[in-house]
Amino acid sequence: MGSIILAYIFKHGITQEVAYNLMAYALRRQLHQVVAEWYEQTYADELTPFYALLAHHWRQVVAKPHPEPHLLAKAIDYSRQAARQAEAKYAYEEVTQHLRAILELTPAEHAEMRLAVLEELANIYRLLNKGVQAVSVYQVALDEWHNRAGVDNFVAARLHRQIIETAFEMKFRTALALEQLEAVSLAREAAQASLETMWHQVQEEPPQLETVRFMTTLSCAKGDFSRFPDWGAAEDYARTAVALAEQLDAPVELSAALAALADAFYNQGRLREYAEISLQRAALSRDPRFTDLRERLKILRNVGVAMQSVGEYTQAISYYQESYDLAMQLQAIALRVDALTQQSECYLALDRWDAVLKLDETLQDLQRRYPPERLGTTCALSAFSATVHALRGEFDQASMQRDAAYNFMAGSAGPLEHWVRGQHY
Amino acid sequence: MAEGEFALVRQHLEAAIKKPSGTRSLGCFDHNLYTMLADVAAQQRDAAALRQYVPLAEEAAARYGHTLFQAKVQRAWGVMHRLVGVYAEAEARLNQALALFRELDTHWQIGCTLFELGELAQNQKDSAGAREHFSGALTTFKEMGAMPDVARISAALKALEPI
Repeated sequence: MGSIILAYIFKHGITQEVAYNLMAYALRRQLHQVVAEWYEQTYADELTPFYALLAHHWRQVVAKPHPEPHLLAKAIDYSRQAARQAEAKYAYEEVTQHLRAILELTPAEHAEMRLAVLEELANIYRLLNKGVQAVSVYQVALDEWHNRAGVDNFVAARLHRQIIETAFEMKFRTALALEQLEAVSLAREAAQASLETMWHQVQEEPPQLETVRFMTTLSCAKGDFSRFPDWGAAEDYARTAVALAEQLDAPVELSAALAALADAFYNQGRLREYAEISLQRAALSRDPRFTDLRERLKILRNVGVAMQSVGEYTQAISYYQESYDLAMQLQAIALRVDALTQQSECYLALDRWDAVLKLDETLQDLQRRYPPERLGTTCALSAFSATVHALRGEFDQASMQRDAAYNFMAGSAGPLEHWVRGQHY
Repeated sequence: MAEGEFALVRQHLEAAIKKPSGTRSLGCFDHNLYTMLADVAAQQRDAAALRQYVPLAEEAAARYGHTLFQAKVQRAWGVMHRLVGVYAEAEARLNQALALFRELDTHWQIGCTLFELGELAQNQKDSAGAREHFSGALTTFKEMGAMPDVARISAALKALEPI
């Protein structure tokens, strides 16, 4: 870019806008085409830095009724490249602009492409925590799917599954209008019913990865996602998903299915079975095909919780240590604090007071280096440390840390009557 | 910890047990809370609370095969039996607890259990036995730097009749 020579430049953006708006549409399109072609020729060897710019110019060129198909293809292609580029930079708002532009440009007869772009757009809305928009775009995608004969049923299954997952992600957001929540809830129910019907249709067929995924989601829909969980049904769906994933030798899907099964066990108070399944997941996460490190971290932490819940503290500590190391690698500060906290609780149970205080020193070091919002929940570790100080008769330090823990909790969870069980603990 | 503070702990735990378990990340189960309630009741020497919580804690700890909680439950039973004067059963329970804590190598719990055995020996007018258990507890607490416990045991030892 350093070699570009700017021959002319507008002194003010408004001047440029006025001049542009005074031009006839045809002339504008012509100029956009000239500029776009100039870039294509001048930077033919390396167009990558100009995808967004080229997408913009070609989109202006084809902004007319019945554009030439080869020009339309250029506008769409550059928009897709620009969307990918923006996604790689986590510029999700920009991605939505490009994807929406593609949808406007893509004729109805290209339903397969429209379907793919709609799904991509909904996925991006999910990443932006815009669940309402995501669900509505998934539904438009489902309409496109219905309009096309012969399209894979599993595409619809995937869309239904994503609607359910999005609805669950929104469960924790209270800032939504009632009618929005109702619309999402209706969409979720319809998606769940469709997946249940689909399962009856495909259960005799050879398993597919999507079958495993939607069975796992159905298990969650019966359990965690539901206001009135049916853990027995959740267990049945999860068992089916596990069996299918094993047949397919798919470690990532198997891990997710096992997570759903573990959840069902946990919520039925079957902690030993929960621990056993969690250990299986940890073993799976070491498979070279398992590349999602964040998911691996979550699994290791869950194994720690499972081991701790049945009193296997030494084993729990080693899994928490592994999750701590991984959190360091991922530069996930709050997850490091979480791993320290969990280890601290285990050491306290084992009367390893020096270890508890050492972990507290690590926390204090992190507190000096990072703002509180990056550290996440620190109250439990302070409380464990306060306990050790009290047991050693160091009452000033104990009171100080006890107050820090209490104030943190009161600040985040509100008054005592709002606390859930573990917060009292 | 003063007696009033034990009561406060109990108040918190009893409030907690009435609430839903919340999210898994908080990792708080019934067996945690029942064991803590049984432990607090033992420290308060509250026979009624022990009768209420120890069976619940015992069932939950056994269900999950949770050794640490099983040990605490045995100790709580030991305290309860001592409070009602069933000394042989109390001794058996406290020794079972001690064996489990030794297996787990949880030193403070070992010290606490030795203290309970010392109290039991005192109730049985066995000063030598009490001295032996209190001395064991004192050594353990000193090694850990558990100063309030060191003070408590030292006072108990001092109160024993001279050999």
